[in-house]
Amino acid sequence: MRIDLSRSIQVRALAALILGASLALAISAPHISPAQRATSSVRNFPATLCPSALGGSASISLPQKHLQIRSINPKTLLTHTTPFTQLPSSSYATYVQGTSGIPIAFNSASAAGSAAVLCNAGGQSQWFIGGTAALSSQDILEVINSGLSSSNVLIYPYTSKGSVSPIALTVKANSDSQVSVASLAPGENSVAFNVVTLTGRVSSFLLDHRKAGLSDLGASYVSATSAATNTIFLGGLTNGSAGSNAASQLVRLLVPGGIDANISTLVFSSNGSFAPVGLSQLTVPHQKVVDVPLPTSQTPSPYGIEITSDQPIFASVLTSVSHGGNDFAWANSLTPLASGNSSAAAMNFSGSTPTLLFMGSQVSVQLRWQFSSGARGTATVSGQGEVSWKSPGPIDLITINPQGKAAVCGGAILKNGGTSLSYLPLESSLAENGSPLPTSDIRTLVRATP
Amino acid sequence: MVELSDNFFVTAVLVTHDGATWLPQVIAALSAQTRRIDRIISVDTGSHDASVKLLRAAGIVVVEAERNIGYGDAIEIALEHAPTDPTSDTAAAEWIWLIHDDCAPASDALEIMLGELAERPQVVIAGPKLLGWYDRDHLLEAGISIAINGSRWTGLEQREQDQGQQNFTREVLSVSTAAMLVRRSAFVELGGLDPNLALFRDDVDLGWRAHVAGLGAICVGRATVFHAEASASERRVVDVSEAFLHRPLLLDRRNAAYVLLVNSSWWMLPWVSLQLLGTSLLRALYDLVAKLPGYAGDEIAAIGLLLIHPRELFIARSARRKKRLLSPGVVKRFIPPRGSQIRLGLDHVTSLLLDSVARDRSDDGWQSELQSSSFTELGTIDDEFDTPDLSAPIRASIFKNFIRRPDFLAIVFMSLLSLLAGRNRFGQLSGGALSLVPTHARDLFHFYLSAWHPVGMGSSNPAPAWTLIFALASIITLGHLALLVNILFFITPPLAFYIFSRIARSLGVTKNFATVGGFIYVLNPLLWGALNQGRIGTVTLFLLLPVVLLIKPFDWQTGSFTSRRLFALTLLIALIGALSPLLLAIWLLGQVVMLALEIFRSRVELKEVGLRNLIESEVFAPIGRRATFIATPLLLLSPWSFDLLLHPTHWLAAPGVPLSGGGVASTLLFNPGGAGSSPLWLIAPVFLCVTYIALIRALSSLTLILSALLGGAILLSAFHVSAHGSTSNVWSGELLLVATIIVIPPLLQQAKDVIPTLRTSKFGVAHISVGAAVTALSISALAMSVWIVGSANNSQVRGNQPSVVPAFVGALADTPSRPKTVVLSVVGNSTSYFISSGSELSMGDADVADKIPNQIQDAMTQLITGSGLATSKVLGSFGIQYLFIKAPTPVSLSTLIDGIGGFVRISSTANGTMWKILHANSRVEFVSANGARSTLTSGSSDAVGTVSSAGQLTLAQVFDSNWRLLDNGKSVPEEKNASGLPVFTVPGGGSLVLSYDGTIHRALLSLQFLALLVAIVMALPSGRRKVEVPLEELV
Repeated sequence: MRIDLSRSIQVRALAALILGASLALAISAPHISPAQRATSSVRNFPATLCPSALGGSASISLPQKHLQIRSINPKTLLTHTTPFTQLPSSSYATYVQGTSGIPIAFNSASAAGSAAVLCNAGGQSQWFIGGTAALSSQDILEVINSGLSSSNVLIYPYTSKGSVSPIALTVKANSDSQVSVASLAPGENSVAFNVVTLTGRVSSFLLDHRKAGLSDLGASYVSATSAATNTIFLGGLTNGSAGSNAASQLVRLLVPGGIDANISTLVFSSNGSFAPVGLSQLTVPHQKVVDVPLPTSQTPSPYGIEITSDQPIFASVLTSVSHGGNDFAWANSLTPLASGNSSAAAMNFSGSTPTLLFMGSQVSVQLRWQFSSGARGTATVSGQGEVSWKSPGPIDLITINPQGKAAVCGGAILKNGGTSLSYLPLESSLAENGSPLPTSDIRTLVRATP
Repeated sequence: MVELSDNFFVTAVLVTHDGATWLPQVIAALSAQTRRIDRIISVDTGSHDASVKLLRAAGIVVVEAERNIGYGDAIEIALEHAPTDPTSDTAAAEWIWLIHDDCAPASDALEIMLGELAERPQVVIAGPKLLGWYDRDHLLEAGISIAINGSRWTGLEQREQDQGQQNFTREVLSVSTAAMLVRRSAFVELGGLDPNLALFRDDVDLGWRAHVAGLGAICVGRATVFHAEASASERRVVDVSEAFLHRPLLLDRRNAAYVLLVNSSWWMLPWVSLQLLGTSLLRALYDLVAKLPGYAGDEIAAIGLLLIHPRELFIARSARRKKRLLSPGVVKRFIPPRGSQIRLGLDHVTSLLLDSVARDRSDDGWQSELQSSSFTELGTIDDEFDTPDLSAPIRASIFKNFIRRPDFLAIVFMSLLSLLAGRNRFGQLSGGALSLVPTHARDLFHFYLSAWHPVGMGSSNPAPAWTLIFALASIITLGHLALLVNILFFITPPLAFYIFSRIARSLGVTKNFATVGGFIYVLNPLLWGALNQGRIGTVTLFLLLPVVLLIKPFDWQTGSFTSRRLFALTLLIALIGALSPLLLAIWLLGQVVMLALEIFRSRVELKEVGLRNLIESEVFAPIGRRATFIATPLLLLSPWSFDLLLHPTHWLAAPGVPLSGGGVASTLLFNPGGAGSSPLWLIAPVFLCVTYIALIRALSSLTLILSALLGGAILLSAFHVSAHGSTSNVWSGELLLVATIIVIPPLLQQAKDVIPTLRTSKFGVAHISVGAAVTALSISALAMSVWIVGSANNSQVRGNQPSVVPAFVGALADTPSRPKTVVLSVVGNSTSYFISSGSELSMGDADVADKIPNQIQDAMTQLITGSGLATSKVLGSFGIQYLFIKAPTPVSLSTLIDGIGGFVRISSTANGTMWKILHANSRVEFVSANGARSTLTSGSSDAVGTVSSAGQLTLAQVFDSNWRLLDNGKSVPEEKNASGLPVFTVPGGGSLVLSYDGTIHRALLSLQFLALLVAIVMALPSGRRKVEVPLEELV
């Protein structure tokens, strides 16, 4: 058989062309594979819960208007949209629609000063390193169930003597339960708590309110921490104005694991960093709450500390001030701020004049704020170690957006009047809490061997 | 010695009607009788030929009669002209010998019959054995009877040969009037032949009457006559006045019914009537299938003719009653038993089919050598070849026999491979693309016929045509569908090997090379991937698609197609298309293009012919055929095909649960990819074949086709489609299968041509390249075999896998509230869900599944993220009463759901965690005006109940305009609520009936069955009218 070679080559060249073109088209075809679809997530802002007034008056600062809110009241499930950014005092906790900013709850239970806390979305496990169950204690642990079913919660108290048997708590649907801390570990001065949610959507708050007889010693929220870490940043601390209302400070430590921890501490201030006496090399026994005085009275305010441990550890700092009155504030560990506009920290200080302190190896933070008067301002703070920024006037909403790649933590100091002191950790918006997008897929119903 | 028979007087009555063809022989035969006929008289019923002339020339007295008189009337005329002298001695011993003009007795026929009669005084009717006129060994009759369904019963097999088996005398119900010898006195006493039976069945009637009168009839097997059966074989026009439209079959059937109805006992009449009617309908159906509409009409008209003249029946029954001495039951012993009738009927049909196939083959010139009676007739070998070899055959050992049969060994190997690979595939199969196979075919039939499917939130999508195919195919396993699928999964590898190698051989490939081809075909990642992934369509196509090779798909010239071949091909295409919509789409697109080309080519002729004469013109024939190729598969696959036309993406969805295959790279390597498929490094033998083809210059055209197929497969596999309740990339396995099928035979042909030449040529590049190719193929085949054995552990399809939803939910599926369950699965970063109606996802369910409503999607998103406040309320409004998360259940998610509210955890097992959704609606929920809720008892698609007041009825299914609600028989208009659910505002209390109106679905199904019937009838071999059958074949 005689083959026409040129024709054969032409045909095979055409075949190669067809195959090549198909390959090119297939590779360049825009498509989303099911695998990609499966891993795509919903960028949502989980709803947050703000504590109730807890016996005093309270208010909530919302980061924006027109948010849906619901009162955690077993008698109603109505949700309504609020046109305001300030919510008045309520004897019920408040469920706030998720948004890019974080609401702040202020509490005036203490006659001496106010307490402030960031509202949160709760979690399976919340740790509170702070509070007291001593005679002066008026502390309340508020466990809020925003779900529509009953929740089961276990509270694990820790004291200076070690852990105590957990207390089981059932919280009815859409209600809260306020537990006296004094009843959890009677007589214990140094306490910490771990609230574990077994079932339900639960958020907990711990208000440390102390009285000595008729004298109100002040109040502060103890912010919740989700997990122990080996490195802890505590920032935005103050020791008051030198001389006049000098503060005393102590560090509360808890090692939740089964091994004692060896810690070292570094103080960051405008004067530089140093290791404080008594905290430079310290062994912390496990599962025991340890309070260690923090000798920083001569340290210029504000400042921050870094605690490094060979075991996961919790830590917080209690600052007590007294000048014509008493107040104290708990500063809890900080988490690095996320960079990027979409996840910038945003909060409404409701006309306060906060002092912000940022910690990091290389700090560069862009701030945008709105004064209570409506005027707007921007600033970029930068530096190394510790950098602070004091609000030039009463401000409402502020967004905090780290610029660099280095991790930056931040805290806010709120002073109101002579002695009123509050600490707030600066946290990025809750947008990071993405969930996998559920897809309807009939394969779910196909029998398969697990 | 004087024989007793010598005392008999025999009058032969010869009735002629255009019988000149046979008369000379008949007259000669009568003249040559060894026992002389005493008197011959002939009656000619108006013959147009030379019959009268022939008779007169022979010296026979001829009485001329009207052309349209019946046989009985003609006999009466003859007897009038041949009176018996009552005073004569012969009066008591006169016999009439009725002779047809196409019936020639053997010379001793009369003598033998009279001899038998002489010994049997009670017998008044005798008849000989009837043999064929042309084939004188063909036994036509040896006595006759009638079956209860009216069939003429001879008790003989089809084309039974006379070997003396009937050479004895026996009592019979009657004998044919073709050569009936009847005592004249009895004949007269019985009233002669019934004038209502002008032709056909008059003999049975006379015999029946004789028996009930206490007389007898015998068939004398030793006496023979040769009968041409000119009227029955439609060689002679039936002119009798009773023969409506001159149709012999019509007259025969009518007379058969008449005989039964006038002679049977009165209490037997209903049963006889039913039998007659039923048999007529069945025969008519058979005739229609055999494309003999005229005969079908005869069958029905025969009954009609009797019904319009009932008076005849009454008079005839009355006349018989007067002369009856015995019960009609005396003939029961002559009526054939039902078993014999069925057996002979089946033999008849089988014989017809075999004859038809043999005829077709000879028409096509396929095995024309089969028509030769011996090898010497072929002229290819010497005469001694036909000499039987009487020497003892040398038996080889079994082992040697096996060695000589590589195909047999290969089948054993494939079976073993299949058993090892499918060791986990015993029991009720499910997994991968295969949802649970129902045990019984009736479930699949029910699914196919249903207009509404409770899958997900419900669907009105028509069931895919492949489900009907499997339901019908389960006839093989007596309706046990699960067993059929089990067998299919096990038998496919060896059967595919057998089919492919047989087809390769029929294409000219030698046995050994065909075996190699079978190996390449079966040791294919595509087949084993399809088996492991449960792609039942592709698996079945592995058996079906090679058949297309026999039709030479690239050489189709429709002009040469007979209608039968055309419809057979469209049936095959529809079958393939049902299993692969992708191939159907390609076929239809190709045909549309070719139709357009045909029209374009013939545009001038078409213009000249004009629209009015278009159909009758020759130009239209190829266009019509091409249009048939397009329209018929669509009609055969309706209503599913219409759904494909409405949803174009469904063309790209393979049967079953969507399952993603591999990507571009795997498709390029002829590996379908996906779970359970072979690793890419395992190069498939077929891929090597494609590579070789690309290197062979002579097969460059094939390379082009292959590249187009492979390119198409690659391109398709890169795209994802959302259909059948999920999203997956397009399964292009069928294109790879087509490429596989067309690549192997040409390569084997090449090998067959090249390899023998290597023996004689010098060692060189050719030897090395062929050696390398064979080595590579062998290694590839061996590696594939090893992988296949191990692939059982990766198979997604397994037997008796655990149920997805807990058993109690399944049990609730049939309760009045028909709760639904949303099943959630979290695997890694992927979260998926679907709605279960409680029952298992069964075969075909995925193919009809619709998109889940957006409200549910939003609710599920809120459920997962914990951001929803009313998730349970939304899910509950859709009738979802349970939430089930398959294990492993993420603790955080279950905690979240616990707290969301409206979900009450009711169980947590190793299979998953279950919540009950509080206050969820039932499938059909009625809310009265005062807010009271009640549940209507619900079926899978309907519901009934009684309500006491006005209110609103909500159906927890997706909205469809075909839902109908009747309130006390009055229709209530359907509305859509905010959630997109159908609601009905019931004006007042009363009885409510909710149903789904599937009229359109049923109409389309009817269209399908009609099209299927027509296509099957057209594709089946045609029956022949008797006039078309050569006389030599009949008599």
